[in-house]
Amino acid sequence: MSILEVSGLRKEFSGLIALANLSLSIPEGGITAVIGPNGAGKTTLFNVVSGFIPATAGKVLYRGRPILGLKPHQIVSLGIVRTFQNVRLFKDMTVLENVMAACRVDPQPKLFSAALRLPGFREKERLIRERALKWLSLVGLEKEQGRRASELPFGQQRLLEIARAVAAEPGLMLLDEPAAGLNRLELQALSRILLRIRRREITLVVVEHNIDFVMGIAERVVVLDKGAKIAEGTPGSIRQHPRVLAAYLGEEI
Amino acid sequence: MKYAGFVAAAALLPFLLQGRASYFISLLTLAGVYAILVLGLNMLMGLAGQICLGHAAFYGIGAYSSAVLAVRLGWSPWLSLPLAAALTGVIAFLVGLPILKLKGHYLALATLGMGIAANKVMVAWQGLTGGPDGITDIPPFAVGRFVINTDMREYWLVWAVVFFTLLLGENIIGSDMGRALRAIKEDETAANALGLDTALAKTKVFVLSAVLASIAGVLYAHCQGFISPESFDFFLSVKLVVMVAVGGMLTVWGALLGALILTLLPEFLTLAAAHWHGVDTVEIEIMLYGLVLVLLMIFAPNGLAGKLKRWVANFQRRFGSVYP
Repeated sequence: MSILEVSGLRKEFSGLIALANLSLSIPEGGITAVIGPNGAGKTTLFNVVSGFIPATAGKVLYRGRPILGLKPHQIVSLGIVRTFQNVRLFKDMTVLENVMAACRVDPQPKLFSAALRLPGFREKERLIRERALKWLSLVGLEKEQGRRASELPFGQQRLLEIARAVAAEPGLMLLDEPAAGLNRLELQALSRILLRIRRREITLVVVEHNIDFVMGIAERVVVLDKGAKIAEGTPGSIRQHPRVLAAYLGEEI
Repeated sequence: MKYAGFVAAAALLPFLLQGRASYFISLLTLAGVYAILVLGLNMLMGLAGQICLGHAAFYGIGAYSSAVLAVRLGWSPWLSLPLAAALTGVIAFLVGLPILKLKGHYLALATLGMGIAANKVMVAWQGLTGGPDGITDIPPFAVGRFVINTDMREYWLVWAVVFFTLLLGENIIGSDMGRALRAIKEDETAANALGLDTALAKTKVFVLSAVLASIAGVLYAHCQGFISPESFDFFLSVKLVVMVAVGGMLTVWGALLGALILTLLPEFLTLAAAHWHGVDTVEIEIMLYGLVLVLLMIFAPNGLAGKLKRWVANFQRRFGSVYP
């Protein structure tokens, strides 16, 4: 069964067509890569699915449930979480606090019980801290927990953003270019971590420009061009696909 | 430990001043009222990063509704206090819901408009508010026959409330709500993308800070015994923002420091200025606020509390810890 079902999804920005009746389905489990040339509509797809921009037309089902029109936080609470192309950390908060901010014990933080330290407060804080540390160690940042997020080198900031997203305990994670700007060593660490997350039965969708990177970890590849799906298949079959080669004309796949 | 220090300082201060003019005590009481306002505003501005240039409105709504209930209907202040707070909370909720969708300059302008409008209502709704003349003979708080109508008693009442507001603030800062608000301040989109209902969280803290302002207003009304629109004007809103900025945005102690310094300093300066002839003390106060704000933004953009912390850290690095 597919975890995410996109059908006839259309998005126009004042005449410009970013998504042209896009249909695709993401099976539960595993890593799916979404690739395509610049302007193919990859990030727009993420923005629509995560509720940050409204679609012009179409349908998106998450585990059979329509999610278009829901607010971003509602979509997260259903189980979809996304990261951003440009890392967006809470820079002046510590590494641990960044992850703690994403750990939710209550559906939403309660002001009244926080202000008055109602019973159960300590237990809740302990639980949040414990969970946050678990997610930090998943990406290997537990030693950096006390540092300010902005002090981390860029590669680790990426990992922290991923830890923060996992802390929202999603069923489906949308990663927007997680490999951008990373060196070879950092890329290897990222691959390991994404595979680790996959083993926790979280479905991953990765938008990526670094083709070699995604071909290495994804078991399925979806190719977008001009807002529509032009190919879909295993990494091996995609490399030979004539329409993909045409879309990437001149670029080596 | 910090709290013990606070209680000791608050308890000792009036005794040090005893025998001197009760003027200082009532000045400290006023500083306490401002401290409650600033602690509340600090949660909105310092923690959540949402500016409010009309906070005097909530302060005024609290003061006026309690005064009207006590004077016109003969209610006890103990009853009018919760009602005034609840009314202000409801108003803040209704105003906050649409207004908090705005960001940055737009939010500043909208809250500015709100503050000015509220002040105009205080002047214009003569039947209820007494217009420019205000409301006089507001009854003081009383517990049985113990009437809180002396400078010292008012001081205790106000600073007890300051203490509880302080605890409230510290509790929130160290909670999941505090983290959520800081996350909103740093990157609202990212906070939203992690499942936080940012609109709801902002509205909650807006209502809380308005309710605290209304409580400050109620205390002010029943301690002074007299209120008029002038006490809740635009300049006060600006003053409160400056106090938050002076103290520094991330701690309750910074807010307290800001409120104390900026209530006491201008008073002393105006006292000094009164010796010169032909100097308008109100103009001096306004000039001083402008000057403080400019200097602050240049030399301590993170507030005095942050600056002090850094000085202490530098000192320790150079000379070893000051604490053995």
